Amino acid sequence: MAKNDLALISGLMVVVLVFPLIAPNSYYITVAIFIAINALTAIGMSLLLGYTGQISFGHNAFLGLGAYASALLCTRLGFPPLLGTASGVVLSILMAILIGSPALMLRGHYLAMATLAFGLIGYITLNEWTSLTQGASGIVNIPNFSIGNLKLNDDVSFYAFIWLILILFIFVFLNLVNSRFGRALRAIRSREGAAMSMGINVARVKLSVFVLSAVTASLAGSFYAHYVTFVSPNSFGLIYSLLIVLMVMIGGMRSIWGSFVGAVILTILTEFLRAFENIDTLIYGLTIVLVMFFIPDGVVPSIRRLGKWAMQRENHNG
Amino acid sequence: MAEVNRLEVSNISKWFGGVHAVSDVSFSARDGVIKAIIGPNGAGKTTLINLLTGFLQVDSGSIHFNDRPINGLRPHKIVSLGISRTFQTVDVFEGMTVLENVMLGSYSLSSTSAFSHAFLFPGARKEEKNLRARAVEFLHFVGLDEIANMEANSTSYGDQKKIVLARALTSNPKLLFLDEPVAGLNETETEKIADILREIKKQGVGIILVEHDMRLVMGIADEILVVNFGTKLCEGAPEEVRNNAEVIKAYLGT
Repeated sequence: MAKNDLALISGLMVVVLVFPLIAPNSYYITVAIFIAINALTAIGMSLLLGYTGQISFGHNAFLGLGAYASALLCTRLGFPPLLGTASGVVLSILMAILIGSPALMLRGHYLAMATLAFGLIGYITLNEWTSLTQGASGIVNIPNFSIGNLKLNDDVSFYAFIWLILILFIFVFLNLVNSRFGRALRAIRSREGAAMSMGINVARVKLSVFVLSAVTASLAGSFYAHYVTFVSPNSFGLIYSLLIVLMVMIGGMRSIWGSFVGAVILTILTEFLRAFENIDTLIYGLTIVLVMFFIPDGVVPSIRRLGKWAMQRENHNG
Repeated sequence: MAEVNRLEVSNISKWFGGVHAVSDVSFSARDGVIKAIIGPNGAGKTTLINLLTGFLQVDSGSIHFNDRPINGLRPHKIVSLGISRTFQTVDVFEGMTVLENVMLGSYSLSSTSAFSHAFLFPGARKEEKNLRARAVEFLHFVGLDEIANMEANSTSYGDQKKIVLARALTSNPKLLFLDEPVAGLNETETEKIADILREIKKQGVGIILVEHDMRLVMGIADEILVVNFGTKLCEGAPEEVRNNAEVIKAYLGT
């Protein structure tokens, strides 16, 4: 692991520890929890989209699968939340293999369309399979997350838990992208044919990354369900897939930290814009257009470039 | 030294719709020998490489490497048997350094799991260090030590040709397919590549070279295979081929 990554992780840990002490009220903690939920999905998408160059507009379905697995298994069959979450992950892995195996043979726009269709089917299923999902009215009384006897039913303890999980995933993903697997992913994004001639089993690596990104989305869905204690199909529409892709693009396609920053920015922006009621979507769209227009490769790479430029200037002057 | 690595190509054919791209071609290649495949544009040379490295599948005929049939194997399997290749277009991986590009060459030699990398197990870190050292060694071999940490995409065309060569060598090939390794290079750069290829040969690697640069081919090839319209015209030592009437006809059209 690179030194600056280690420094950033330590810095993030400090911020996470201090934040509850300085947060004015519990609303801030709630927003921080949503940031972590979104970031968990976004860093998974960053591996798939940013590193491997494979797009998915269907990850809302994995989020929904995780959320509804937790919701249904815990309310109907009395599963403990941990087991509900794990079941969601297993289902998502199976679903990702089933969908990913054929879909990942497609490229570019065709892959986008295929995954979009999958996302749409997921949303429609949640809405229409009313005997199982209760349709639009959703599922209530989902238990808060707990690990054995350790109940995480207040905001701060769940906040601590989910940020710990997120930081763990950031740590693992950073290690992965800096290893031979990360190089293989970038090779596939750059030139598939040449990647094969390096001995990379391209189809299998693509599928593994798709599965991995489905796992983080499913986990995020389960955590959402156990935190909000209520799920309905509207939380898992196509717009969520779009949001995740935007987080990765706005933060910086080719970096784990970038997608994390993208998740922070877009989650806060969404919350902030609530105050503008009717024109919030308009401002939201405008912001995204401006960001994409002026810093198309994302916020984090631009900051890095700015830092380099400043350092060079300083060296030049000094 | 006993001959150890041998590629045996028997009567292979490939159709693209109604076009007979490769028709009943047979030849063999072995380690320590540079074999050049020449022929006019569209003769089927690149198709031949694609067939022999698993990027295309033959319609008929067989390919054996060390008596093991390899037709039907996918490219990544063939690499792991010790058959490496480069492409006609320069294809360095963008978004990584020259060193990282060359490190990818030894992907098939590494065996540590994703899990052990994710949690920084000592074995994974040690292997990473070895891969790095190995890549540095091959970068030195092709004379690119100084640009190791440059973005691969931003290096010169000539350097990119060397990067892909070093990358292919890092996989420890017994047989190396090179598709136009000096296309677009000037005379000095071509001479440098020729030296590298001679050195590779000296180390016992077999080279199969597709190239239009006749001076390079005549200068370094031990054997030449001439193809035209997907069929084998003739095969032999450079001198024989140079004086073959059919070859002259195919090239000069008289």
